[in-house]
Amino acid sequence: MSNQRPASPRSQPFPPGVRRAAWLCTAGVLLGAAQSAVALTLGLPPPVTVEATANESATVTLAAATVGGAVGATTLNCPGVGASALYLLGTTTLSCHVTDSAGNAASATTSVTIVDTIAPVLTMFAPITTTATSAAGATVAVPPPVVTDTASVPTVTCNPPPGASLFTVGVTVVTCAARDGGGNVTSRTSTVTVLAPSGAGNHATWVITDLGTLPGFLSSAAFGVNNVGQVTGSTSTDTGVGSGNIHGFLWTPDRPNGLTGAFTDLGVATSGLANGMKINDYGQVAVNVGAPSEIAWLWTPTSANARSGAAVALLGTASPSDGFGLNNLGQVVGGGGPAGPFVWTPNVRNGTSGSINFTVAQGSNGPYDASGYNCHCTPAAINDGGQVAGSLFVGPYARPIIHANGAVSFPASNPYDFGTIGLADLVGPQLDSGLYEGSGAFESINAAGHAAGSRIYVDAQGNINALPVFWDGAAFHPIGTGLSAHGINNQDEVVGETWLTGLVGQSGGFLYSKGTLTELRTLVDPALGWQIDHARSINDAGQIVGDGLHNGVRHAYLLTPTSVDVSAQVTITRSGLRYDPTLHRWFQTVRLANAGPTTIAGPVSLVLTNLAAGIALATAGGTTSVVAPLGRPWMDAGVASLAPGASATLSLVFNDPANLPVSYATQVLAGPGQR
Amino acid sequence: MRIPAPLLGVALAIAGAPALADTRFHVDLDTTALQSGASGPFELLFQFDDGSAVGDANNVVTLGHFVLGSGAGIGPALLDGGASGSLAAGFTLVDDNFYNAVTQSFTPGASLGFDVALTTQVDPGGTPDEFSFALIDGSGNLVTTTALGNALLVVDIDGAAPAIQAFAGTGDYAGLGAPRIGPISTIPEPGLPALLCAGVVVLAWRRRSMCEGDALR
Repeated sequence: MSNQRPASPRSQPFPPGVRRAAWLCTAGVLLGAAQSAVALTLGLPPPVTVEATANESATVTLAAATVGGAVGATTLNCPGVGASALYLLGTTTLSCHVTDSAGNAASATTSVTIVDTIAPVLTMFAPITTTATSAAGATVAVPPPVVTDTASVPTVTCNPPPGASLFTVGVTVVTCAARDGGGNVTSRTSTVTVLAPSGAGNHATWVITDLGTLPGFLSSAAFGVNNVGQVTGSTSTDTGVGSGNIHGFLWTPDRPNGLTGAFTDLGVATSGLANGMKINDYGQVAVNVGAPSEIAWLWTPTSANARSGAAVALLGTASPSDGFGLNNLGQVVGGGGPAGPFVWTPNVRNGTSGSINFTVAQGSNGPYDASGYNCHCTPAAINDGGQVAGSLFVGPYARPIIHANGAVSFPASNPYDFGTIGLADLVGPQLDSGLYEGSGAFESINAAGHAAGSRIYVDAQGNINALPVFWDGAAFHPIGTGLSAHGINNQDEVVGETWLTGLVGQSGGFLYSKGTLTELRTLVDPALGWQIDHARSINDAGQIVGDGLHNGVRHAYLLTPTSVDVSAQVTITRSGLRYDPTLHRWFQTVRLANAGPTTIAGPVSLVLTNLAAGIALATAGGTTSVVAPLGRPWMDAGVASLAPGASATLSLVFNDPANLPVSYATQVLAGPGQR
Repeated sequence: MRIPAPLLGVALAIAGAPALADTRFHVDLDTTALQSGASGPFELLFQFDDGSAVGDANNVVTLGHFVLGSGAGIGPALLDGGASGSLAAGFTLVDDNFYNAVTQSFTPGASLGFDVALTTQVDPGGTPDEFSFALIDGSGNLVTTTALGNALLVVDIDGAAPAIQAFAGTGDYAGLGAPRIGPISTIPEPGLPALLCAGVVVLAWRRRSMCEGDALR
């Protein structure tokens, strides 16, 4: 190198990256050797957008970064660029930085955006058609939809949800929606069609329930039913209820007016006759222990309609008497025993301590009270207004009486006496037999003061007969041709026994309503093996209790009227739903239109089946207890009937504190029976 | 492919007559009765509730061109479910949730107006999608109206041309009339000035004819 010319600045080797600086120097601009006039550059691949491929992510390969204008060695910090990497849904920004030996630096960014724009593919099951297996419809197993998605496992929501559930008669649309991680939603529908069973008609139907017996007992008979469907009666270790070891029982349905329930042994007698006679809506039972002890008991549940409770002897065990009736306040009337007629009034409503009001002195056929009547009188029932119905002997002859001696109040002291007779003398002329025509007795009384019982009459052949009667407050109405009436509800429906048509000398239970007598045997399928001998009580829901031979064994029964499913005949039009966020309530109107050719007898009720959990129908009139599916809220349409083409609109209000989606299926029930 | 709600709203606003919007109308409400009372400030409550209950995202409601008279909005809107937007830019509600709502505080002026555009895909499950408009007073209670649930405006999407139901105030808000429903007012069409001129000419001609008739009698 020594014999060579010194290298001119132009030819002087420069460190890499500063040649351009030397070049500029020759142009007369002095620049520091370490300061490049050309900026260090960093090139990155452009931002890319890629469709997600799995798990809402995608693997993306980016080209390598390019560096320009560097002086000397470079140090590049550029994670992710020039490599393949997995990127999640959204935008990931990649930042790179490069420096060279001369201290120059450059930065740049690029980005990778993963998107999910492809909606899930949702395939519904093929439409299902089946035939109803009951009046409620059919249980159908609905398959879940098949869902696929390119990038994720979508969440699927269906209404109604997949699985086995009851579908009412008609077409039910099943809607499913699949939502993927990118928020794409696909919704599809299919249908479940339930055809009405052939022969289904718009007629009231009845269900008879064999209440059975207490464990270890052989027979039973029912005497009273309250408005929630609790039943009281007696059960025996013998095949006949009137003999053997007899216990009073309480049967409580699992839900109000339901068809399944459980027994309670009232436990008031370990021997002798113990009959649960009457039951009030609280679930108190007036228990009559027959001869020889003749003690009136009142069994009171631990809380309203509870299955456990305790009994007290109203007059003490040393003062024999029979308890026959009680009202919803817990007042008990009784008599017939040596203690004479009485009214027992609790100190507080449905309380277990109270006071006895003996009305008059008692004796065998005397002494007589102030009105001159022998006080061999028997109060049999008392309503909430304090009216007492029963019988009063005039001499040896009983006649039906109603007392109305004042309002009930607590505490009450001597609110009743039997000195005043509410009805005029009802006894007719003495018959040849010695009986008085028209004599008889009331056995029950409703809130309006209307009563049911029996009277003596002479038929066309001159035979003396007992006749069931309904007293409407002004006049007696004879029922059929005999024998007696025992119960009446607040709809003036009366039950008792009558001679059966076409069966000479054979009697059976009857229902009398609006002037028409119906033999109970006609309401029950003969194939069920029932002979309904007695009907003793009816509640406001129309449930009847009594006893009969079921396949030859005497058992208590509960006969329940059921409404009819008319869903197939009704077109339902729903409005949309709107929310009141201040009250956390949803509102909706539903119109029911009779699309059939026949009038639908009311009342007409809309049942919401499969109402989403956590949501309550605030406007419900009750829940289904007899017609499946049980426990569903129903709402009355407020119409007596729906003629063809007529419609009724219901305003539904839902309580929904958590603002959950409101969804439900529907069922329409009609008729006076239980829902 | 799903169009994000905000983009859909923008698209609808830009398009003016969006293909998806099957029903469009303008709403005017005289809010004078709200000015005098002490029960404010009030809130606008727009709901779009999914009839299928699963959030099937098959319909969209777009609200825009809000006019509050001398009133004004207060703060940003509370957006629930598939709601997006603002009072100034307009709101979009997609039924991709069961409950989709806009709650916007405002001080009432003499009037309130806005445009509504909604698509009309019918849900098959029996319950239609429903768009509704209501007011909440300063006590946090819905302004009472003659409608079940106290709505002032209800549209059940039960067909291609759903009914638009308007309801008047009741109780403390008896002075609040029902909203007036009309067509969306737009910039006058090019031919409109000519029509107006023609109308004026006709009116003038009729007036002169009547005057001449009077003179002949």
